Parts: sequence; C-alpha cells; structure tokens
Amino acid sequence: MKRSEAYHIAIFVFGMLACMVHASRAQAIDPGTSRPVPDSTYIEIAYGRQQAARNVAALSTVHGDELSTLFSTNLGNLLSGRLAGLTVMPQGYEPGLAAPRLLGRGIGTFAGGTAPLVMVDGFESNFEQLVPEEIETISLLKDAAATAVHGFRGANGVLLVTTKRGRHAPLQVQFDTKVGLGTPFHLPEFLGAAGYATLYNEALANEGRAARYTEAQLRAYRDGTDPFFHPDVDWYGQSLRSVAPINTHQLNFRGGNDVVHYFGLLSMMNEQTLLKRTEKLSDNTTNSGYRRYNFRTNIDVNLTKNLTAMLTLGGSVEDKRNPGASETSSLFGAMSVIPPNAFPVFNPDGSYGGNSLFSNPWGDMVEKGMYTSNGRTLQTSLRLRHKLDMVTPGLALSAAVSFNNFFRNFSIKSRTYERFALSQSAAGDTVYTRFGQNTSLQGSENESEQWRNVAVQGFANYDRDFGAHGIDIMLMGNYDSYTVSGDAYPYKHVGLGGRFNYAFNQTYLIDFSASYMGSENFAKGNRFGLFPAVGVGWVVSNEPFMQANRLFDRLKIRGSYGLVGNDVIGGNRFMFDQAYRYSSAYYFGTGNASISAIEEGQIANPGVTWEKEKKFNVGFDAALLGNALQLSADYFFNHRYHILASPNRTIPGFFGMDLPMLNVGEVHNRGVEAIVAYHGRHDRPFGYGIRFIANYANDRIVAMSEELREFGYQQTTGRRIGQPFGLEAIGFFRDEADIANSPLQTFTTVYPGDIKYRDQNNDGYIDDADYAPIGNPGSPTFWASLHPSFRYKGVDLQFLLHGVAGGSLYRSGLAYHAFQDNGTVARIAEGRWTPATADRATYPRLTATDNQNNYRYSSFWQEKSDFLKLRNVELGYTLSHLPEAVGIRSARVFANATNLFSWGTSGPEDPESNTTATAYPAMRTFLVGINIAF
Amino acid sequence: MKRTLYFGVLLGLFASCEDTLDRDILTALSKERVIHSYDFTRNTVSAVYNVLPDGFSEIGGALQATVTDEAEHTSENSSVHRINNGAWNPYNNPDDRWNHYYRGIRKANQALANIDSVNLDMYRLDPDPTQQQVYGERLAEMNRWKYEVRFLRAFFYAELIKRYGGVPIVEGIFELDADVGDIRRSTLASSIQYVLDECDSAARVLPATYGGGDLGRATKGAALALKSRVLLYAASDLYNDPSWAAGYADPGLIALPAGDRVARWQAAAAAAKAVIDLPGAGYALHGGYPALFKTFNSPEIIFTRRSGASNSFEIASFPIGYDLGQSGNAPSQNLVDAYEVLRADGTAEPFDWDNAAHAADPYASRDPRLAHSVLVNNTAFKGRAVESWVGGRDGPGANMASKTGYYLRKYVDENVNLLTGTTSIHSWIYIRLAEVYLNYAEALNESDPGHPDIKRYVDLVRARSGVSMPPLPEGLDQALMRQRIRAERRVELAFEGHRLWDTKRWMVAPETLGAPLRGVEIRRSGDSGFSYRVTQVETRTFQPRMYCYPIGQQELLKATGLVQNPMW
Repeated sequence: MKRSEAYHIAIFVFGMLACMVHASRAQAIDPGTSRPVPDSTYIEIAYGRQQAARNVAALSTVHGDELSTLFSTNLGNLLSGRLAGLTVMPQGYEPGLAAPRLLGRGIGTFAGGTAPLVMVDGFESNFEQLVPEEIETISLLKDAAATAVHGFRGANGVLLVTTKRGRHAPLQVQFDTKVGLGTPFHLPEFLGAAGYATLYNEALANEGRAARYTEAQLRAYRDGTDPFFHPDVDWYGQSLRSVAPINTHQLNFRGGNDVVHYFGLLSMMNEQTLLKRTEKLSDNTTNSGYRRYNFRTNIDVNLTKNLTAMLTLGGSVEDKRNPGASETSSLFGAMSVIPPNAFPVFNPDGSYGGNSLFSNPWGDMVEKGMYTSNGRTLQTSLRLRHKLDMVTPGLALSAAVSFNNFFRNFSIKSRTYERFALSQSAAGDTVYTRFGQNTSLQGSENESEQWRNVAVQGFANYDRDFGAHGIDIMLMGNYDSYTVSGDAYPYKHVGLGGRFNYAFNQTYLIDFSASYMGSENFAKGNRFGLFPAVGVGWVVSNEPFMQANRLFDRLKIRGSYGLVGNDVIGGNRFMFDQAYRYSSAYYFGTGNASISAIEEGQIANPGVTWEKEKKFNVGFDAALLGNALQLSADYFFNHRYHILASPNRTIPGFFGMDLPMLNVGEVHNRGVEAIVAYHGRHDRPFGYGIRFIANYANDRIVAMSEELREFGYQQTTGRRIGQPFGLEAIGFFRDEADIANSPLQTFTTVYPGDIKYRDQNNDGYIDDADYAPIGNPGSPTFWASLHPSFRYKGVDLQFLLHGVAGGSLYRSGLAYHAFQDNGTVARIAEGRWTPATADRATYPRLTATDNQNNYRYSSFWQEKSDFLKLRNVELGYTLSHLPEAVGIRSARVFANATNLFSWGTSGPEDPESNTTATAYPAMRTFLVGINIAF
Repeated sequence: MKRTLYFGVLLGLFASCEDTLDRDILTALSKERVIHSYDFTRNTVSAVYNVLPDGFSEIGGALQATVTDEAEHTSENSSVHRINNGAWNPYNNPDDRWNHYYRGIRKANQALANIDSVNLDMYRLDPDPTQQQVYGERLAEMNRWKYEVRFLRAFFYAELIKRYGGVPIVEGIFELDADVGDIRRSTLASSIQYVLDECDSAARVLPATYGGGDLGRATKGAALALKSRVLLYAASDLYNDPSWAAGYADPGLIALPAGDRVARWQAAAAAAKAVIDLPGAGYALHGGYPALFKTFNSPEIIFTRRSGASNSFEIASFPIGYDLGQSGNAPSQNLVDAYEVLRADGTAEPFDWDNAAHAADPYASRDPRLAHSVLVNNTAFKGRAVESWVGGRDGPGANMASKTGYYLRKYVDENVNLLTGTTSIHSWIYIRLAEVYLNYAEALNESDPGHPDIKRYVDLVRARSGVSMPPLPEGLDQALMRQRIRAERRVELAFEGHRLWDTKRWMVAPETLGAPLRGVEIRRSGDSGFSYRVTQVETRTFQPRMYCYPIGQQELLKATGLVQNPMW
C-alpha cells in the first residue's frame, strides 16, 4: 500500500473512531442534522419513491434546508462535503460563472463524459441555478440497483433533485433576508517597481546582458518621488476593492387541504464582483455584478378522488454585467502581467497611461465598454396520476410531460480609447506617444446559447402487501429529446424501464430493476441496450434472534450488482457513418488559385456502442443507541468497459487510416464511503449532534490500446486517469562542475541555478523521453467532512469542516514564472537562486526571457492540492413562542461564513479549483440575516 | 377500457421508438455524396496533392538541411536535434514518415477507386452538343486525374523507399478488420520496380505542360524525372553494397541483388536524358538563381509543392535582430566552405582557410550562389547590414542568434514585412532541371566516363545566368569528375532536401553527416574590419544503421510480418 493511501485510511479510521467515541457519550439532540428516517417514510429513487425500509440500493441524501447556511450563486458548490460519494470541484468563483465539476464516485472513463446525470423532479435538467430554499432533497444514486432504470445514462451516477411541494397542513409563510460581503481568499502577490527593476537587472546579468535600470532609476523606484516616469502601480489595488457586497431575499409559502397542495417561492440574489464601481466615472462602462431572480409554483390538485394533477413550474432570470466589454478573465489576465513600472495609471495630463505591449486595465474598465448577459431558465412539467384501487388495490397509472429550457443572450458594447506612453525628449520635454484612439461604442448583440428538453413519460405502479409479502412494481416508458444550440441534431432517448421489489416480512429484500434504452447516437440495429440489476437486502435486526440484542436498533446489510452504461462516449457523433471532411486546400494554376480538398474523415466505427459498467456494491446501514447513532458504509467496485479508444496497438500504419475510435478501453474504479451520524433527542435545553462523512474512490486505466512506449514509465495504462507526465526536478545546479557531471539537459544551455532534472532512462540526456509520471491528476481521490452542530435553548451553532486529498495542482503563468512574455514578477521569485543563496534558494536562477529549461512541465512547479477548509460556520438565535399578537410564529437571526479558513498549499492559488492563481479569486463570504416564519 | 387505453398509449409510444431516433436530415459529407460528384471527386484529388510535405518545415519545423552538414537549427526545441545527437530510434524518429505517406497512399487508392463512380449523366444524357463536349472533356480530365494520382502515389513510395528501403506495396483499401498477419515488406528491388512502372504508366498519359488553371499538376516530365532520380539512387553505392549491414538476414530489403552496375548507371543516365530531351515540355534553366526560389512558374521547375501566400518561413528564418525573426535554419561553415573562390584570371579554386587571402576576407569573390543561398556577415539585408559579429545585433550575445554565424537566404523573401504581416507565395521545388542535368552527368560519368555530355551538363549548371561560374577544367578523370559533380550538386541544390540522401547513397555519411558541424566566430576590429575564427558548433552522430531509418516499433508489433532494418 502506498503511503498516501495509508494516510487516507488512517484519517478515515481515526475520524470514524472519534465520532463513535464522541457519540457514545452524547445525550442530547441537535436541531440541524438530519433525523433518522422512519422505516415507513418514502425516499426518492430513480423515477419514483420507495419505502425506506425496502431500499437495497446505495444512495446518499441531503436536505435543501441544510444547504442554506452557505453562500454561492451556484447550487452545485453548496453540495461540497455533503453527499457521500459526490465530489465537487469548483472551476471558478466569478459570480454567475461558478459552475463546478461534479463527480459521482470518482471517475470511470478517460474518453466519455464523467458528470452524473441530473434529474430535477423526474426530468433531465440542470439544477445549479436553483436556490436551497426550493429544494426538498438532493440524492446521489450510486450503485446498479439505484441507477439501472436510467440505463446508459446512469453509469456516472444520478443526482436526483426534488423540489418542495405542498402538503396537507395549514399555510406556512417563510421570509428571509441576508446581507453580507465576500472577500478574496488569496490574491497573487507581485513585486513593486523597485523589486521588479532590481530582479530584472539580475535576470539580464544572468544572461550576460547589460542592466536596463541605472542606480538612479532604482533609487527613484525605491523612494517613489517620480510617479510618472518611475511609476509603481499595483494594478490589483487600482482595479479591485477589498470586499464585494452580497444580498439575498426570499419568500416562500407552503400548505394544502383536501383538494390543493401548494408550494410557492420567490427569491432574489445579488452578488457584486470585486471590481471597483466605475459607472459614475464614464458613460462607457457599467458596474460589475450578478443578479438572479428565482420563482417556483408547485401545485398538486386532486381532480377527482383518484386522479391527481401535479404541476411543477420553476424558473429563473439572471443578469450579469461587467465593464471592459468582456468577462472579467481578460481583466484579471492583464492585471497579473503588466510590470509595476510599465506606465502610470494616469499621465500628468490626466490621460491614461499605456504602451505598445499592454493596455491599461483601469482604462479598460472605465473606457472600453460593457458586457452583459441575460439568462432565463424555465422548468415545467405536468403529471397526472390515476389510482386504480377499484381495479386492484395498489395499482396506479400516471403520465407526465415536461418542457425545460434555458436561454442566454450576450450583449457586448465595445470601443477603443487612447492611451499615451510617456517619454522625455533630449530637451527634457515630456513626449506623449499615443496608442489606440477614441471611438464610439459598437454593439454586438447576436450571440446566445440555449438548450431545451422535451420529455414524455408513462408509468404503471403496483404497490401492495399480501400479509408478509410486500410487492412494489414499477413499469415505465420514456422519451426525451434534448436540443442544444450549435448542434444540428437533438440528443434523443427512448426507453422502457421497470423495477420489481419484493420484501418478505420486511426482512428479506430483493429488488430487480432493468431498462431497455435506445439513443440516436448509435447505428440502427445497435441502438438499444438492456441494463439489468439486482439488489438484495437482509434486515438482520428484524430477525427473531436479534430481538434480544440491545445494541442494534436496526441493522441492514445490502448488496447489488448490475450493468449500467454511459452514452456520453466522447469522439464525433454518429461515428457509425463514414464521413468525409474538408482539409487544407491545394493551389493550382498561374494565379495560384486554391482548390478545396476533401478527404476521408476518421474511419467509421459501425458497431460503436456506449460505455458499459458493471457495478458491484456492498454496504450496511445500522442504527444504535435508540436510533441516535447511525452508521452506514459502502464498498464499491466499478468495471467500466467499451470505452472509446484509438486502436494504436492493432491497426498498422500502412492501413493509412485516420484511426477510428473503437470500444476497447477499460477502467477499474473502486472505493469506500462511510457516514457516522449522531443526533440526540429534542427535549433538552442543550443538544448537539455530529455527522462525519468520508469517501475514497480511485481509478486505474486497465486497457486503452495505448501505443508502445520506449520506456515503461511512459505508459499511461495502469495509472490514474489524467495522470500528469513531466520532468522530475531534483534541485538546482550548484556550479559548472555539477553541470558537467550531470546528464546533458537538451532544452537550452543550462547554468548554475537552473533546475536539474532526473535522467529517467539513464541515457545521459534530459529530453522528452524523461517525462515520467509526476504527482497526481487534478481530481482528488479522498474527502471527508465533519459537521457538528450545537444548540443551547434558542442559540444554535454549526460548522462544516471539509478535507480533500489525493490530487495535485500545477503552477504556471505569471503568478509563478517570472518575466515571461515581457511580464511582471511574483513575490515567490525573491527566493531565487544566486551564488550567495545557493544553499537556501527556493526558486531557479532568474532570466529575463522565457526560460526553456526552468519553465518546463516539471515536479518543481507541482504541489499536492490536499487541503482542509472550514467550509461553513453559522451561529443563530431563534425566538419562538412569540405572542400571537406579533403575528410571527418564530424568528431566527443568524450570521454565517462560507470558506472561512483553508489549510493546505502555500501559494496564492485556491487548492480546490484547478484555475490559475491569476483568475477571479476564491472568495470568503460573510452574511447576516433573519428568517421569519408566519 | 381505461386500462387498455393507457397501455395502448404506452405501447404506441414505444413502437415508434426506432424511427424516432433516425435523423430526418443529413448535414454531413457522406461517402455516397463525395464519390458520385465530379466536384467533390476533384477535391479528393487535391487532397492527394496535399499529402506532399511542405519542405519549409519538413522536420520539427525545420528544413531537412538541418539534419545534414548543411545547417544547424537555432531553436533548441526542434526535434531535429534528436537526429543530430543520435537520440532517435524505432520508438522516436522525428522524421518518421511511415504513417504520413501510407495515409497519402490510401487517399490515392481511394481517389483511384472513386473516380470511376462519378456520375456524369447530366451531361451524358443531354444531346446538346455543348453538353456532350463537356461530357467528353470531363471524361478525359477524370482519366488524367487517375494518372496524376498514380504519379503522386509513386512519389510517396519513393519517399518511403529513401527512408526505409523495401516497403509493403499497398494498392487496395484496407478495411478495419483486414488480416495483416501475412503482409510483408517488398524487396527493395521490387519496390523500386513498382515506382518505375508507375512512373512509366503516368508518363504515357500525362501531358507535358498544362494550361493556366492547371499549372502545377503532375506532368509527363515530372513522372520521367522521378524515374531518373529513383534510377540514380538505385545505381548508387548504398543499394549495391550491403556490406554496412553484414549479417543482416534480409539484405534484399535494403539492397539490390548483385548485378550489372554499369547497366544500372546506363538506365539512370538514359532516364535523365529522356527528361532533358522531352519534347513539348520547354524545360530550360531559370533566368536568375535567386529568382527561381521565389516563383512556381518557371521552365526549370519540373515538379513543385504549391502553397498559399504566407510569411511563416520568414518568421522562422529572418535573423534574430530583425523584427520577429527567429534565426531558424542557420547554414553551416561546412557548406559555406564548399563554394568556390573566383580567381582574378576567371578560373575558380576551392576555398581554403589555410590560404591567407581567403581567410582574411572569406566572403569575397565567391561563387555567386553563396550570397544567394546564405546570408553572411555584413551583407545588406532589409535595409541594413547583417551583424553576425560578436555583440552585433544578429551575432553571439543576442538570445536565439544563429550558432553558426550565418543565416538562410535561399527561399527567404526579403520583401516580406513581418510587422505589417505581409506575405508571399512560397513553393517548395521537388524536382528542377538542374538536378536532372546533374543526375545525367553523374550517371554518365559512372557508365561512360569521358563522355562529352558529362562536362557539358555540369558546365551548363555552372554557367547559368546570374551565376556564370567558369567551366570545369578539361581532362578530369572519372574520380576527379565524380568529385566535381558531387561538389556541384552540393552547392547548386543546397537546402533543397538532397544532401541527406546524396551523402547516404554515396556512402560518405560518416565523414559528412557524422562530421562536427562548424560555424564561424566573427569579431569586429575597428569600424569595418572583421576577423574570423572557425568554431565547432556541434558534434554530430552517424552510425551505419542510420543508412536506413528504423521502422517504428509499434508497426512491428501490429503487423508481425514486417522485419526491422539492420541494427535497429
């Protein structure tokens, strides 16, 4: 076992023990963490609901109410550390652009899509724009028994989002409002003008070139007496403010009687960005921010005694705006590249500074124009359910139709503006050299993106108990069509599915499920596949011999095995048809006229099929100590095969083909998940509870028809998907003798202080052949979260600690690599190698030009991305039992913080997201609010 | 009743499933559409032409010359350095063209199969005489396409043979599940014979010249000239002397069976003469030497790789001191030394560093082709003198300056302005008349030494307009003449992709490709005086196994019938 794995398992075991010890002494209750699920309750499963007691599948669930203690404009980010088996990897933090990457039980394929299928209220949709207050539950369906009815859409797991509906109860109205602010976690740190100029001179000297800055100039940078000809600009400070305001408000109401059940919600969310407000400075700009309105009306009407209509209507409208006529990424890019002494923000005459290489970020914000985008989402469905108890008790038929769509259009208004470079003439006059010119705003309104999804479903359900025998049968048919802008053909699926669940004495459970599905992406005759699964369960605690035991209140052992698939296979669509394509033209004639060229495209794969996965899962659920302590653990082994791969090992070159993609790849993915939760009783003044979740998933490429490599370490097969390959840095060259005695580094001439690499193949040369696996892929293998909560009378406190391990991050770009592309230099370059600091240098010798040796992809720039974050803290005070005259049933005031602390890497990057340090920074958010229930 | 209705709806839903998943319209370019259309099929022929590599960035963005003693590529990141330092093998060969040319061969075979399926019924069935005329013209044109494609396919095979020796001859179109177990490499002799036969077939049908719109298509002369080159290679030492691969089990793959050498040289000479004498082609040496490399339309050009206008070669080749220049393919001292010096009496002598006059002013009175091919220090280029001296704008000290002290001139368009992004048309000449002259002289000198044509054709090349080098001396014996022909070939065809193959077929590679690559260090003394010192830029590696490229290890694994070349 590798050290890292041992480390993970140690954390895992320790955490579990800690929880159990903790829990065994606990006597009290907790208001926040989830309650034990009574056996009679129904849980959401694929295409329906099921008695919790009869479930044999692996799934994990979080309630919407638990998610409202964090803040993100994207609901996906709130799931971080909440659902056993679900890994959330943020991909950015800009308000409105913060969609994370989601992984259900790790990664199972190197070619196809890895995202779980998202089903909102029974239909494929996206869920990231929803708000926590409209969510009843979000569940991750993990094993074959849970996902087989989704056929070849289930292999990556299914995220089941269920929105709140009305219930048979008096009207309840809830209003809450939160205000707060976000601050950046880290910003990259760049040197000021004096530091820049000093190091630049050193870098030039290292290349044998003359210094650019004289002693007098260095002095001028140091004392800052000449801000125009010796400027020292901190572009981050110039363009960003330290906090970005946030406010959210929402109102919902819920209730119902014999005829109608209803849930309604209206919410508004407003997050400004870190960019300074510019609107008052010019007509050519706009303040930056993101705003979203959500609404939902879910109504269930009993049309007759047996016929129910369920209308689901949810939507959102979002507006995003930025100055500078683009997303903020180009602005952040510019701020992190311009040397601090390149030019002042403003020249002495008030004009914008600039030069031939760089535009002025502040000028861009104020003068370059504006960028707005407006998005709308609409999710609608109508479901009719007819109970047919008069035919036979327990029988029901239902049908549903859904239209979901999303539309976003972009409006860009841009212009150019003048910047002036300053110089001094021989006579000492200030000379202005103009770059760019002032133009009027030009609009560009024709870009948009959209998708729409139409789905029709029909169901027959039969749920009845015959004495000790309980039967629950579901049969369904499904058709859906998903149209995405920019794609000529909609994505379509048709399928039949079913589930047969049998329980004997509520003790012996067996569950067969299957689907028969087809997709348009495969050739006629190869379109349909059957995906069966079986799950078994044994509720040991129901056995007569267990009745005497005092330890377990409930103990269920589960197992499942089955086949599911993934039809997001990668490669071209319709690869079963041989396509021809245009290639570069050839030129003929005295006029050198081009004549188009057409060639055979990638060779068709007439038998192309979806990825298949055999999923095996065993687990148990237990409740102890009067149901106060709950334990649950799962082990899974997924064998994915028929992954598309290029047959590099079988098709000879003299075939002359553009190699097809064949279904020859295989991946093994295995792991464990565990949940330990303790929650006491409601009736004490002091209560607390705790929940611990840990999970581990690790994949291996078993087959991919990889081409033969000269050296074994160059093989990708047998490693994790996405394994990075790079040079292994083994320190800095000490001196010329060290260079002479080391293998020849062939990228460029090396000098003392350059990074020294390991000669992996011992051939005396460091070259492309020495690229070996270094570090880990960007995605983690392990995470654990600890979620304690406390209550004393009206005061409640909870927090969520989230630790992640098993991935690597890579440091490139100007936040790390000094002087690249005429750029600036970051603070970490102060640790550079010089002859005097050879023993303690932490950074290679500086060079003024892009260094072909030091800035190669190597382990020097790689670091473990393991981290521990205090994801969330919330402190609240609840006023209840208010006099009726007030008209308020209860009120709760609270303050919370999201991503308060992070322990992990040392650099200015967010270890969690694989974005560069020079992108929009990770944010720490503080909110205060009040929640009033009427 | 209600129940039946519900189930009926469900069943109906599913019954239409299979059809629901069909696409109603097709937007892709399907095989059926391509092979029946005249226009699309014409485009598939263009695609076969497109397989011809652009010699301006043949290996790792560099000229092939940079893996010979002609030049050194400035960028450390180019894969050509792997060849120069010997770090290439069956797993990693920067010039592994196996897949590239077999892909071209497949395209050619597909075009040949498809041309016959073109549907011309709209003309054929129209009694209108003009339509009937179009029909006739198109039939003839499509027939010509077949022979253009066969020539190109032969060209691809010739390129494969140069690199790998005998190769599998593929005339069909493989399906995915084809059995490859018993596919073998053809012997060198039969591979060469295949190319020769294809050249003959193509030459019988292809026209000697083309009208305006078709200039650049394969001609009869191109087919005959390829044949001349292949026969010259076949007669040369390498293919007739497998001693370098002693003990190799399949000598037939890398050498010809023992036979009449003289007859082989005679065949080569006759093939070259057939091009020279080709009626109707109008071949003649181009008016000026430098202008030849700026045009695609010259009586000297027999076959050239056409391209659109670009400036990427100038970006790659301009000296580092010029805007956006990257120094690129830097000529070597080894090559520069090969250009003769003109004496005052009008005769020429070899350049010699031991000759004090030569060493003091090495670029004076040289064969004019030196200045047309190599940018030497202190010559005017784009409005200033090139500063290759130590500390000069283009000299050592500047990052990415040429390591040899020279920059490339041949093919580089001085008038391109990189800052404003102007471009010009670059056309890579594969075969030109001067090569055929030298092919003829070389073969004739081996088969019929003393024949007057030998000196005559070498002198024609030397005397070309703008070069005007004095004729060879009278009375050279066969060995001396061989030396002169080889020297002439070296300077006349410098950087044009010949040196690598010539040094190998002459079996002089150890002392040429394997010789240290030299450059010059120039120091400026005073205002305009310079002193010169020859330096060693790089040690080069040549081992006998490099006479033949290795076949990729992947390929041996996949097609078990293939045999590796000697000593790899």
